[in-house]
Amino acid sequence: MHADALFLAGHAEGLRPARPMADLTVRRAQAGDAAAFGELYRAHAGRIHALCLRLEGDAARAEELTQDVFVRAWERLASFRGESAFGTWLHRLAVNVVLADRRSLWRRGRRILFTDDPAAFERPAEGPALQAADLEVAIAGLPPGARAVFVLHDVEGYTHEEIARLAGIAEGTSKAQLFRARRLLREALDR
Amino acid sequence: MNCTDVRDRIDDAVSGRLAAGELTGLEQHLATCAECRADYDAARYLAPATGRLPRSIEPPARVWAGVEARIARRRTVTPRLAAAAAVVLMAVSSAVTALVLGRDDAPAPAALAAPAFEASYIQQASALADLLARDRGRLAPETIETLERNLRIIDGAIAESRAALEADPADPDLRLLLRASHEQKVALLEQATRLAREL
Repeated sequence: MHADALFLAGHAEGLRPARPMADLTVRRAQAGDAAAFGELYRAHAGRIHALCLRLEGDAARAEELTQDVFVRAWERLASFRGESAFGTWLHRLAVNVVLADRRSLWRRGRRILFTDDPAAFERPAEGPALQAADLEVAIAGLPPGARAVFVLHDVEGYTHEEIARLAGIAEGTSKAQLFRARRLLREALDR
Repeated sequence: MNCTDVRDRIDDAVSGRLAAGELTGLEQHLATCAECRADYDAARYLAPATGRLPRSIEPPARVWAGVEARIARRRTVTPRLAAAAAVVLMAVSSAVTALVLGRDDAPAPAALAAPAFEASYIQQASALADLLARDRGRLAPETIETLERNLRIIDGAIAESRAALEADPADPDLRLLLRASHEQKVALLEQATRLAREL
C-alpha cells in the first residue's frame, strides 16, 4: 500500500484529524516519497537559494550549496518533528550548511569566516571591490564575516544571540560585524 | 546613554520602536559622538533598501536535477518500498510514543507487515508503553522529553535498517542491526517504566 493510501485509511477510520496539505507532503517525503520531496523543493527553493546566494556572494557556489542543503534535508527528514514550520527548519539547516562550508578551510584555503580577534576586522576585504551601486552587488562585495552577519541579521531577521549560537561566535562579535558591514555598504553605495 | 547603550538601540530607533524618553537620550548622544552617528546614519540609509530585497530567488532548473540525482544515488530501495516500510514503523512507533506521552493525535497501528522476528519486539514495546502510560504522570517533563527524543532516534534507526533489509533480505548484518535497534528500544522503555514505578 502506498504511503498516501495508509494515511488516508487512517483518516477514514477517524484515527486522527485531517492534517494540512503541507504537513501531509512533509510526511510523504519522510516516508521516502521523492515526488513529495520535489514539491517541498519547489515550495522552498527560492528562499533557500536567495539565502545561499547572499551568504556566499558567488552564484555558482550558491547553486552548489542550495543543492547541498536539499540533499542534507532529504537525509535528515526523519529528524524533523514538526516543532516548527518545515520552512523554518529548512532555513536553519541551510544556514548551518553554508556556515559549516565556510569553516572548511581546506576547501578553498580561505580564512575562517568568524573571529573574535578585533584586529581581523581591519584586514582588507576579499573578493570584488565595493564599486557597485546596487545593494545586492554591494552585499556580495562585503568581507565574508560582515556579509554573513548582515544577511542573517538585517535581511533574514535573526537576532545577534541566534547568530552567535549558529556561527559559534560571541554576540559582541556579531554586533561589531553588523556595524562594520553597514558602514562598508554605505560607502560602496555612496560612490 | 553611552556608546554601548546607543548601539543596542539603533535598530529600534530606525524602525520607530524606541520609546520617546530613550529616543531623546539617543539623539543627545548622537549629537556629540561621530562614531555612533555614523552607525545610526548607515542603519537608517540601508533599512528601506534592505526591506525591498526579494525574499526568494529561484535557482536554475539544473539545481533540482542535481538534487534529484544525488538523492537517487543515496536511496537503497525504491521509494515505494521505503515509503511502505517507514509508514508501517511510523505507525507503530507513533502509537507507542502516543501511549507514553498520553497524546491522542497520533495514528493507531496500521496493518503491520513487519518480519516475523520483529513481532515479539513490537509486542514487548507496546506492553511496556501500556505500563508506562499509566505511570507517566510521575515523570518530570524533562524526562519525558528526553525519552521521546531517544525513542525517535531509535525509531529512525529501525526504519533505516528495515528499509535496507527490504532491499537486501539476505544480509545478516542488517538483520543484526535491526534486532539491536529493537532491543535498544525495549531496553529504553524498560528503564523508563522502572524509573516511573520507583518514583
